[in-house]
Amino acid sequence: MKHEPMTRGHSERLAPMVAEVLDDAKVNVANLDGIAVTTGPGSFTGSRLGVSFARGLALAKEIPAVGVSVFEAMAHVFDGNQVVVSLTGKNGALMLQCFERNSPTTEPLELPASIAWQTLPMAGFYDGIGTEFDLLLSHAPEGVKNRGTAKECQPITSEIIAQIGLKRLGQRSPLPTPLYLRAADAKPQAPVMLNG
Amino acid sequence: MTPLTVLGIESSCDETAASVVRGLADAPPGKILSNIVYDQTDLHAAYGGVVPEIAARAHAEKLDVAVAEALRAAGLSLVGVDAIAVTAGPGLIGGLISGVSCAKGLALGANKPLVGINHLEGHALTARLTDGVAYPFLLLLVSGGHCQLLSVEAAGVYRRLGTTLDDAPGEAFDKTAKLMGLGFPGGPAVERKAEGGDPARFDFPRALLGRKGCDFSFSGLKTALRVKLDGLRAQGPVSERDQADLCAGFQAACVEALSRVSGKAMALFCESHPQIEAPVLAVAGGVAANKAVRSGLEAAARNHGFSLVAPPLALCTDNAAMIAWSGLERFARGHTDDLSLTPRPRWPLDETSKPVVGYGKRGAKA
Ligand SMILES: Nc1ncnc2c1ncn2[C@@H]1O[C@H](COP(=O)(O)OP(=O)(O)OP(=O)(O)O)[C@@H](O)[C@H]1O
Ligand SMILES: [Mg+2]
Repeated sequence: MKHEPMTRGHSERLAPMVAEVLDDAKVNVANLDGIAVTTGPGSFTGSRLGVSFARGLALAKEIPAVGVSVFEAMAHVFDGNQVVVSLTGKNGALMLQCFERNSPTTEPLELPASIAWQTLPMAGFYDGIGTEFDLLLSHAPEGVKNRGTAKECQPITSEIIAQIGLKRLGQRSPLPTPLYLRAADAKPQAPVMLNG
Repeated sequence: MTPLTVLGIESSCDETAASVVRGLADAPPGKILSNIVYDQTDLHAAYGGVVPEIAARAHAEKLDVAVAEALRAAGLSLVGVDAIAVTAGPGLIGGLISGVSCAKGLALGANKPLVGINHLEGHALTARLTDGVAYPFLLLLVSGGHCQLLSVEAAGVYRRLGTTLDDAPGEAFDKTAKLMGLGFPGGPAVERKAEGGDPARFDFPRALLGRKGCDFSFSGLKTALRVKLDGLRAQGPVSERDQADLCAGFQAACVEALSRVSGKAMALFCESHPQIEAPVLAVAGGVAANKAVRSGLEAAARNHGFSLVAPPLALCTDNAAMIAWSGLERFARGHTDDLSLTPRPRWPLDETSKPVVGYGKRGAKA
């Protein structure tokens, strides 16, 4: 396993790093049975970079590519009964998804903090992992607030992504696509009136 | 000599493309075994122009699909390919990153050499792929992001004779269409409107034509159009006739600029290559689809004793066959890139020429 934190420069490093990791592990590309990749949410460019590379490699080798979201990876390592994963979104919004024993019970969403709590499970107790659980609960009514506790979750590594990928190899997963949770920032053009 | 077979990948703007080309670098033309282009026009139409983030998203989900289709159509697997060529610049960075990443995955997975290609070189060498044009030749690149006259001296050696100092002609057509509400892409829409219009009714500026050099300027045209349009509007509805006359006048000014400056470049080219008996002016880029532009250039070429080589329309606009062919020529010369290949949003073909300051709304590529 290798990791290098970077704010930019993924584009040069990702492919050489994969080649190095294979070398270190004394695994020939020819012997790979699959490739797992994080889909996001996170940097749009970073997600595209990883997904495009993984899909290229998978096509060349005719092996499956498995996409794993950050939510899925965190829920997987935490492995609790009822889990809410919340991450920091844009402009004070939250990104979140709920899981029951590793299976998602809601779609991943980005929502304003003030209403995000409405996606929380209405029954039972749940563990909150990720960066924004306190903010999430701060907007919730008492009855909801009392049913959740913030917990620590170990950081996500490429090893964890690979483990999840390994588990899913047998299943027919769809091709990985980047997880944006947000429409592209663009405004449609106003119509031009010339003869009226 | 055995021919080479190269896979090409292109995603620098708003087409996701993959193609397989076979041939000998020293004995063009090449053979296009497949040429797949997924056009994104519909995705961008509502915005009146290419939205970079929308383009990047579409590329990331289509690149491998295009590659698979190109291989299938060529009846090959990657085993039968000698190298993988990919556009590494210039262009919109989001699409470039996805294309280069996908190509790296393919190269690593199939254990094939990777070759990063300059998109402009792709356009420049199209005349060799299609018509087997020999070095040296003169190239006019007229597209949505570029307007350059290049002397293509030899494989990989480019000398820029001139460039636009502001907008590219395709961009000027697109902005004209946007101002008049004619839809996107603007070039074909303006050309259609211009049919039957009177090009002499409105007076459009002919910028830089009196100057020495081979540079262009198109931004004045756009301003002139806006002023004339506002003037007409102030007097009431702008009639079909007015619109046709405006488009015809604008188009005629573009054609005149392109033909006259190309004429100057042809004279320069002959001076520096006196030994060439049958000089060629090759044209590439989407604006070469315009019939008035083509006939203007044909006339100019005839006057200067040049023959005009204009590739089929599908190979004038962005495609991956031109990238595969450029990759084939580079690979044949022993050039490959390693897995650290980095996309370059700006990447002039002639790196010795001065960058032009203030150029280009679509990513300052010159
Ligand atoms: N019939 C036409 N008349 C004039 N312009 C046209 C016509 N058809 C297409 N165009 C213009 O050609 C441009 C598209 O060409 P092309 O795909 O070669 O450019 P690009 O890829 O956007 O730019 P670049 O290659 O410089 O990055 C658009 O600006 C379009 O309006
Ligand atoms: Mg182009």
